[in-house]
Amino acid sequence: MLRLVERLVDEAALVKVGAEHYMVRFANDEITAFKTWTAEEVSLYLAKDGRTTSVSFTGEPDLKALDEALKKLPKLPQDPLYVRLRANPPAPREEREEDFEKLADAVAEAIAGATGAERNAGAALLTYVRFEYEDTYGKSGRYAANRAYLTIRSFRGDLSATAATAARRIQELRPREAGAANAELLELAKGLPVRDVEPGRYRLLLSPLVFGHLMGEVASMWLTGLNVISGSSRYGPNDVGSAAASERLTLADVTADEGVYGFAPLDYEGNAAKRVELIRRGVLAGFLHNNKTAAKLGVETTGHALRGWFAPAPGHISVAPGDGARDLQGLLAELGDGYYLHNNWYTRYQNIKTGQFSTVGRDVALAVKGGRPVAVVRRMRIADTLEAVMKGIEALSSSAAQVYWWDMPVPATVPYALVADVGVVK
Amino acid sequence: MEELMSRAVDYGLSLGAKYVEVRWQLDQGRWAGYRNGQFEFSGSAKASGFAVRAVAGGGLGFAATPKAAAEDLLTAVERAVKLAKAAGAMRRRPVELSEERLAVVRYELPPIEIDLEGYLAELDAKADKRVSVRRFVGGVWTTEKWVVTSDGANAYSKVPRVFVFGLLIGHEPSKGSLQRDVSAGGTSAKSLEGFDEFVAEESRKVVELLDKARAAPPGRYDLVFSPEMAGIFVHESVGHPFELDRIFGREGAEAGESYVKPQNLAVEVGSGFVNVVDDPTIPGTYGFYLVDEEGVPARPKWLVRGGKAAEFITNRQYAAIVGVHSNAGARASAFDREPIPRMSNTYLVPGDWKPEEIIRDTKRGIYVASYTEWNIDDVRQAGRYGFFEAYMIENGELKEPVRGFLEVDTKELWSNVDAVGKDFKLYVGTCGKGNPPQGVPVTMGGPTFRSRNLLVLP
Repeated sequence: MLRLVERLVDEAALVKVGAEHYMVRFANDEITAFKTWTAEEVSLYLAKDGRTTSVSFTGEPDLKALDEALKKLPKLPQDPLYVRLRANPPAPREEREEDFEKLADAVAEAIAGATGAERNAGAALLTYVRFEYEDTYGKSGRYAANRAYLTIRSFRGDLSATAATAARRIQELRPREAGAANAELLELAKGLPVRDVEPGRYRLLLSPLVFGHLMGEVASMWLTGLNVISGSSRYGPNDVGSAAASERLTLADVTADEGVYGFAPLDYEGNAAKRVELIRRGVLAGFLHNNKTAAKLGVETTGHALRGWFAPAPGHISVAPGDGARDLQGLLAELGDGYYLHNNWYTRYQNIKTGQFSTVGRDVALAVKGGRPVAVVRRMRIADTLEAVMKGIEALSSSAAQVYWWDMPVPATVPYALVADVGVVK
Repeated sequence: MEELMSRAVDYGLSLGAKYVEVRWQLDQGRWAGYRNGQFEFSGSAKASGFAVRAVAGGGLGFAATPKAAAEDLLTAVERAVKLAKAAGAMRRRPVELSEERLAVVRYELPPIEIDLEGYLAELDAKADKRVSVRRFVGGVWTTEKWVVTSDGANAYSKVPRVFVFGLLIGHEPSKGSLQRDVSAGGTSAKSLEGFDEFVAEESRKVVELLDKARAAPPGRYDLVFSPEMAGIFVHESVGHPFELDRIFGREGAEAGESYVKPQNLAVEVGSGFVNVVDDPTIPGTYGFYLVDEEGVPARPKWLVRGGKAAEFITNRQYAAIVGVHSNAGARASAFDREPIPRMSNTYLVPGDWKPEEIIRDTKRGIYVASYTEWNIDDVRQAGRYGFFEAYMIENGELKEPVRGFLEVDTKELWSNVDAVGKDFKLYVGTCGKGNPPQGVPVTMGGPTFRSRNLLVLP
């Protein structure tokens, strides 16, 4: 296809993404559906005289759509961020597809680990992705990689607990540990009185699911070049180098790391994804970029055109662990008085620029006094700004877990976080 | 195509499946974006392929392929049947489907012609330039579906849709920041009529409310809600918890469950003034369809009648569990997604009050016209809704604009309803559910209505 268009445009890039997905979904300890689907998308980026567009399709080349795009291109407005492609692909990388049949075993193992649970629901997903890049400058690159995650939510009466595990291969998942983590939390909560939260500001212990979720929101919404340019980020270009968070927070995008769920060595512009420190010891260190946003802000691309040509995006974020306890019981002791929030969902914003948000507590939340759980708390929301959460970090656990589930914006490797003075409502 | 799909169905049966469903789906269209008066992106996309669902060995299997060749479809059938049998080995109760009178039909709507980039530029031109962040994104596309099942469905549809979204943020360091999200859409260009004026009005309100709105004193008030508020309420607190798969725990680890429990489906949701319908057959609406993805003919579903649960949104699998017929709630967002129970156009049924009469009849209250941040817990009981535009009501008159949050339980919200207006409006949205996630086009709305004695906090 590049040969077809190269004389008609100034430059073009072609990306082919193929993926084999396998998913086991379960509820009430039964498989509700065993699914497989193949994704196969060809996307073509076209640029001429500072105007840009893209065409994407499944399966065979859609020449009609391509023809229409070429006709439309000269009539489009100028792309104000246009810069030439400057692909710098890393060496090709191949790996074999995993055996999906082990997925059902992983599910059975997770359920077996959740001792004492009355019923379990969840999903396990294996994806084998193949990515190829080619452009009219003759640059090309490709990779193939597996990724897998498993979520299990265990129910016991009115109580529930969710655990997630993510990895690059099925055998690296920890399904039994995920089920056992649910069992531990449900056992901890069993028999405790149940009460509503009293709105106020509290010290919170956030699980990796919650803390990873919130840091994923920060990375997606505030730390991408396009949102900085558009003014919808809390930060402007000149804020790099200024204090943004507690000095305990070091947040990076590690999509380029071989071991992480979502690993991607190459982006839609043919550039190698780089490890990017976004916040270093509390100081805003940088943003995620594609060619265009980087050029506009006078820096180099970080190789984060991960979803397409127009907006950079995080692929996997990581928070450096701290020196807090490793396990939940130890962390509750460090919390002293406050609340433990195990899971959250439905994060919505009053305003994305100020980051004023609320997110709904889900599963067991615990009121903690003197380092011991004293009640199960229902109806609990965090309602504050993202900045307040980032600045309030007092301690991080000394171990981090790789987690991803349905309601996380970005896969993450994160520790537990102790955060001071967080707004909580019913 | 039809012959190939029928062959695939027969092949699945020959492999031992009890039920086989083959769906071909093609989505193609164009998308564009504008940012602060500047072009942001433009592109076209086309996605097509076959989805196969099979019930075999007591389990449910799903396989999808983007390839159009017969051998690829037949391979997908083999995989779906194999996976169904594997799933069945981990089930106590076999998957059954309700028996239905299935559709044999073709229907098609005329295409939508629109200069998308030009339209988005017009929207930005209309927006108040004091709004510092203005992002407009739009899409116009056509969805073709063809469903053939082993028990007789054969339904083809071709439905175009248009959707436009606007993000408006006013920001002044001395006053803070205020955001309004607006959207419009439907199955014809007519659905965008007046949206430019709406953008002009709402962007002006961003600036004005940032300047003038003050926090409402915390307390309990009689709240009068606009059709936009009726929409988000029915969607979140009636539509979602009335999805029968959710009630039976299928979405337990993801989109959640429901305050309606399998052992008590006859719940009382609210006062006798509360009637809620989900109706995919409303012409022109964003959530329009006439036959669902299992080949069942669509009809209006009366979810709540006189405050009591009347029926639930279901597909054939969950209809069979409770011993009813499917009400055509099965939808899939793309060729590679399985059909699951979803909303379409969900609304509070109008009553007999004029909206202005409801306000005149309210002594001390708040009129809430629109919302910003909102969320609800995963059984759809505890909701929180932030006000974008709201005004105090004193002795039947609208007074100063206020900010605040409604914190309310579903039962409390609907039980305290004592007046329902005769006005009516629907608002578009994209409804999320499923794993992998499926965003489907929906509308939500209704009339102005009042609910007494609700808690408002700053």
